[in-house]
Amino acid sequence: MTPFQRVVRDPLVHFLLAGGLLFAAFAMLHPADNTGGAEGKTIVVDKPGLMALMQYRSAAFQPKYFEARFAALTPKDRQALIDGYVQEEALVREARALGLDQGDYVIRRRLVQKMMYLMDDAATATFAPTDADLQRYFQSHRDAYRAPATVTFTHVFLDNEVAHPGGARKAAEAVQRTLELKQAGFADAPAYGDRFAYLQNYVERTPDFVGSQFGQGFAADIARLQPSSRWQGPIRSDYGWHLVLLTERKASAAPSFASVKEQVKDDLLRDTVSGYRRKAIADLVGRFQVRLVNLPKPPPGQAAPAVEDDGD
Amino acid sequence: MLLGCAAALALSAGAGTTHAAPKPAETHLYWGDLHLHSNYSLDAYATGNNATTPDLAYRYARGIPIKRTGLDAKVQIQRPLDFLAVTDHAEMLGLQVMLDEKNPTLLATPWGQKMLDAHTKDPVRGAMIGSGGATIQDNTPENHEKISQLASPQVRQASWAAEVAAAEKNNIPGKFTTLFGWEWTSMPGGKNLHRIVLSDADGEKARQFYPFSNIESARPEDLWKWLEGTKARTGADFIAIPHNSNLSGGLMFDMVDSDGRPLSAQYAKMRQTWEPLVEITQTKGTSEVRPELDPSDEFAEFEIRRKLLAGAPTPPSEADYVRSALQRGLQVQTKVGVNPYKLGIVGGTDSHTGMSSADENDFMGKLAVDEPLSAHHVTGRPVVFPAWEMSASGRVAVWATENTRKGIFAALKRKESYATTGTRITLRVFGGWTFDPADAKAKDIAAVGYRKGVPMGADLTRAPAGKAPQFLVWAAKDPMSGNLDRMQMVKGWVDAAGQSHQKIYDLTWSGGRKRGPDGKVPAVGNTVDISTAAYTNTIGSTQLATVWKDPDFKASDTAFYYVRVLEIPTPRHSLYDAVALGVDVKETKEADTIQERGYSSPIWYSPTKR
Repeated sequence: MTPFQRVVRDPLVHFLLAGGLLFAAFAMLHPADNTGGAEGKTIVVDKPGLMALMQYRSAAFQPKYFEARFAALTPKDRQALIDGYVQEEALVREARALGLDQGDYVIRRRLVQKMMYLMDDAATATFAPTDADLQRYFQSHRDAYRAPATVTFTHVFLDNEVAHPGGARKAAEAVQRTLELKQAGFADAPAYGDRFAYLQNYVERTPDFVGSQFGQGFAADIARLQPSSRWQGPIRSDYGWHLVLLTERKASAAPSFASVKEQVKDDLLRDTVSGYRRKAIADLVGRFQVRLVNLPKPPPGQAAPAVEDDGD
Repeated sequence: MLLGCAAALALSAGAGTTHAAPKPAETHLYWGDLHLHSNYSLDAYATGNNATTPDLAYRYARGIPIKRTGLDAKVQIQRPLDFLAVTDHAEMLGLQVMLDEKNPTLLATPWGQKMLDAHTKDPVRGAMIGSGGATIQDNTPENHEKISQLASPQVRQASWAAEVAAAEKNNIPGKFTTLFGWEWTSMPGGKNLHRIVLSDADGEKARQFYPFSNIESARPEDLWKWLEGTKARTGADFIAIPHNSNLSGGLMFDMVDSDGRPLSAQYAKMRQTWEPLVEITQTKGTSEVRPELDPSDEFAEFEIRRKLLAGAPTPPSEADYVRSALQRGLQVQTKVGVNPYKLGIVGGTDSHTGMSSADENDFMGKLAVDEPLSAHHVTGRPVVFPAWEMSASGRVAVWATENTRKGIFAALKRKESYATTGTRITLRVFGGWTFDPADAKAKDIAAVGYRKGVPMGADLTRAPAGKAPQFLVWAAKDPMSGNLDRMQMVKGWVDAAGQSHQKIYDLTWSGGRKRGPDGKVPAVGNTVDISTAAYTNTIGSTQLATVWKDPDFKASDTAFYYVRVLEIPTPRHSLYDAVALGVDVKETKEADTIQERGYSSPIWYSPTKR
């Protein structure tokens, strides 16, 4: 890598460059802007400015509506709006002249946020990964893209809300004996038990999906069952008892690169952007000398808690 | 892929079956959103969503993690959807994104340069303030220049092509369906006449048009004419879905047309053709009924919004709510012979974040600016859409034969759809004349329902002598939400003298509660712990089912029937936020609990003409 390339790849250079360009563009497009320097002794009042003020004031952005409201302003209201605009502008300029924008935490946070945007933009603008880059990222984060394990089963349900003599569990045990006796198969399940609120057959469903419909306890029990031609259970759910004919269990599978390429690209971008951001901030901080003044030392051999404890 | 899918379905029907179409009992429940904005909407971009593209919006709904706008964090939907239409505002579609991308067609024009200037100066709202509100009715030369440059056919084709590409890329027949759509943003005098427009088109057909917008016309009649013409030209079919009638200031379900003439049979036919559905719930509140319009409905005070889009207060109007619109439809039908307001029911989010979210405990807000929780604290300044005032709602469910464009669109057209306020309650409704009370206990209720009756969205007529219509109704709770409190039938009818009537019947409810002296079933109770936002399903039922026969039926009266199903109280998103922030929920100025609900499409009864 040549020194030039190294400089070009330096994130700090990028965002400074991007920022500089933006700033230059802004200055070029707004030669006599209201926010101009010391020579700005004129406050320009125009319709877009007044419309913007109206909309910011009501925190509603419906140009058409405000266009109509603007047109319908009485001369008195219109003057009041202009006065408000001029006063705000004059106050803002005077506040800046007095340095009131210094040390204001809200303004500081906003400035920090704008810097973050610039850095992110710089990182995004130069993001052009090759297929090999994506492949490499995919290989090193393989687990994140795996398709989840699935299970296939049908079930016979005995409802807690239905009055079964001896309860739903006893009823389930009785039905289980019948199912075994009649050698009931997958397709016979609808003929037995009570109406379940959701599905009869769960085909290649993830543990999350099963848990979302039966409750987490049932999903955990199902996770321990092996495929079998016998009716297993009864297993308890949030709603009652189930006899389960579990026929297949598919292990989690690694997807092909092609099928997740878009997602890989997004994730790489996200990692790249936060990497750039971290590095750019570190570089920036590195250009300063940090001096700690009058800071009491923490007691030796004891890490100070990051956040003060409530004492409960 | 489509062919393969059809083949698989045919196979599943079993050997020896020659029926090409699946039996109606084989409808499956699919959940979706038909109303969502990405950064291609002018106002979505201007409220902080500058990064969630149509593609990312689809991917979020599919369950793929996406980067959250403005935050260095991934976000993933709790429960993926089965179908989605990204429906951006057609007016100046994608303008800020095209400015960000330095689109050469746009920037070759003086107005494009002007917008770039405004966008550079104020990257959040500049372009919206500079470009919004243009219509061809405004006859100034400046305005015509603006439209011909910012909304030229070339520019509009380019932005629409991006929407089409995103929908095409994410459409996976059998797994996840994307529908092409947009929002037509008509609002005369700030009154909301917005419609979602959906198409059954495939990608190739969708590229043969671009969205009809408010720039062309603010009149619904003109929208329908365009839909008619475009269908004839391209073969693509369309549905227009009104939403936020609650903010229409008395216009959405008016008794006159856009020129102030009483509704004619021709108008009613046109409206019924293009607008078979209505959105009854979304983030900007409930459009079912307003308590002032029906003081007898003890559940009507629910997520009600009493102000227009820009914040002006709006009085109650029968023209603004779905229940009264269904009633008005019957009235017009008795006069001119056609019902203009024969509306099936859907729900949508209308979220502008690109993330379709409607669960109280997984709510991403209406606007991207609401994403930081701390921003929900409303300061002294007036805000039209405070985060806590918005509703975490709604969803559309369809009973469709397959999860494909064809399957979903067909279910919507036959109104076999219902809405919920975000919860995923299963709801089946069938109307007929020969149900048996024991049918409510049937294990496969749907098979019985389709065999003996018609599903939600359909019609009953020619009452057999001495018979009253019966309804087989079944609801199952959302497995991840509260139990069910009760099911109700809402009936509206017009008698022989032309008088309108309405009545709500409690159909069946949990816990063996006895009706009070007023005939109403008492409240179910409340298990929500305000300090922790936890609740228990120790009250309510997991399933409710019944066969109900109309006790007040007259064969000569025109009527509609729809079912409302209520959950037990659960925490509202304002309570989850208050607990997370460690503040008193009263500071949110909103309710701490909510009774989530579902609304079925109606079944209509029309007497036989003699």
